Amino acid sequence: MKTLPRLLVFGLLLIGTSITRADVRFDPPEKPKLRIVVDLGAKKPALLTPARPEGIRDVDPLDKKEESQTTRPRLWIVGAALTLAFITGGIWLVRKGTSHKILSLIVCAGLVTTVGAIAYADIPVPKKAKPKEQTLLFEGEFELSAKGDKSWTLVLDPKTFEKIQKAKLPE
Amino acid sequence: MNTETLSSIRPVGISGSSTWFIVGFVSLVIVTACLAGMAPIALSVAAVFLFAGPHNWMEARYILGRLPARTGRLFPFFLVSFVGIVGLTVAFWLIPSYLRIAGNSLDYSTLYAGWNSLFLLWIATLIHMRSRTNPRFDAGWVWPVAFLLIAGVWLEPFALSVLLVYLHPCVAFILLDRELKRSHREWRWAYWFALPVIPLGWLFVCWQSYQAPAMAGDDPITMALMAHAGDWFLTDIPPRLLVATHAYLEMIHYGIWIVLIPLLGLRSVPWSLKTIPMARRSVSWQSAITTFLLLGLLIVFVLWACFLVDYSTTRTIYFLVAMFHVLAEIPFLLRML
Repeated sequence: MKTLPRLLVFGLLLIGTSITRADVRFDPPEKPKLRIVVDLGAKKPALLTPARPEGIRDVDPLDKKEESQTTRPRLWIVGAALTLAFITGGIWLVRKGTSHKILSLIVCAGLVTTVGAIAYADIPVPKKAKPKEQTLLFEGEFELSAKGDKSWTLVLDPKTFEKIQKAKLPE
Repeated sequence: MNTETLSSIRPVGISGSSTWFIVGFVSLVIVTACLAGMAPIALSVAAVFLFAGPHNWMEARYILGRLPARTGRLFPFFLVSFVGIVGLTVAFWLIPSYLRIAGNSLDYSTLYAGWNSLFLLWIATLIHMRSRTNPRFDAGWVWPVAFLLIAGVWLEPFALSVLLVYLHPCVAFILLDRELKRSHREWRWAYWFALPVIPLGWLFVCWQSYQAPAMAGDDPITMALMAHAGDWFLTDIPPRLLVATHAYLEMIHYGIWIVLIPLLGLRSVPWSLKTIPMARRSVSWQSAITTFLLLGLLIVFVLWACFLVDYSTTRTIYFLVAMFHVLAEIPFLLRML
């Protein structure tokens, strides 16, 4: 009879984990965006790069093989480690003889983790307000590549160049 | 062989009331918090330059004084400790060299995640082995926790490495507590009451860091300090606060190792070998220990000279080599529990 409540607790934990895993926010890799702005207060031209540049490729951007080669085995290891954690944890609890105190502690911890993860996954990412004194000339997706030499090169296609030429500065 | 028993040798440091010890500890924390808050770069540069080498020497001397003359039944524990310390340190040194090789098959994230996994498994093994010797304890929780952490390091390979930079200085607080339990048991309560001054000092460091202008970070020394404090990983935290926090913890760590623990724990002057159990085994052991300690002193002087020649490069190399003592503290701490 003792095994039934234990199984029930583990079952609940597993269900909780699945719900949490299913609700974890998944951000697909965003394509880098290019913004060209005119800052009337600026004294020098500046190229502002993100603190953590994402999407830089030194191979064909359409080739996804390289990315999956490193991330997939890593996720397998994460899965294997989590499985071992649950197995060893379960064995430890069974050998120790779970008391009501430990059981309630595990249930509480599981609930807090589940609710916390769901809440965290649903937090909207705050959008940064655009500075008022800047005039946006262009905003759109662009290719970020490490193919260039030591200088930062901004390559414009004719359409984008046309758009920028048509833009008017505030008086 | 010296027939004098270890129990007959009394500490040469402070004795009597805990007041002076607590005054010393709190003063160390307050002065460090003020310096770290107001001049984090200067404190970090000066602290590592002056105290990094001596604190390693004092630590080695203290550990030698606590190691048994013969390993006996603890041989497997010491063997696993030694293999882990040497193996993990060498692997840590080799990772940057491997990454510089053109056409390598493993990327830096995989290598550091692998290193962190081995590190966690090593600690788990040591805790498991430690739990089977007196005083025994239930260490069944160790494996689930270790595997959970391993899953974490494969999701975020650098989180543990950055965490270690800040956790390692804090190990000194636990070791000081263990030393008090061993040699000045009646002072422990006073120490525990004084411990909250550390987070309070850190809050002062935070307040000062947010008040001060942002760090420029365009010279090699500042860049080395910022990189070591993990500004490349903790991008949302101001680099000044990271450098100040690291300098604050590191300086207290040095203070504990160079002043407080030797005053409390050493049973003779540091250069005396009579309180090192291994040196009492035979004349050859005594010579080996003497050579080891003299070599350590030589390294301290070489380190000072290198710091004077090229501070940022020496600092980077020092913290790479210092992994050895970070790892050595772990089995030592486990034996003191």
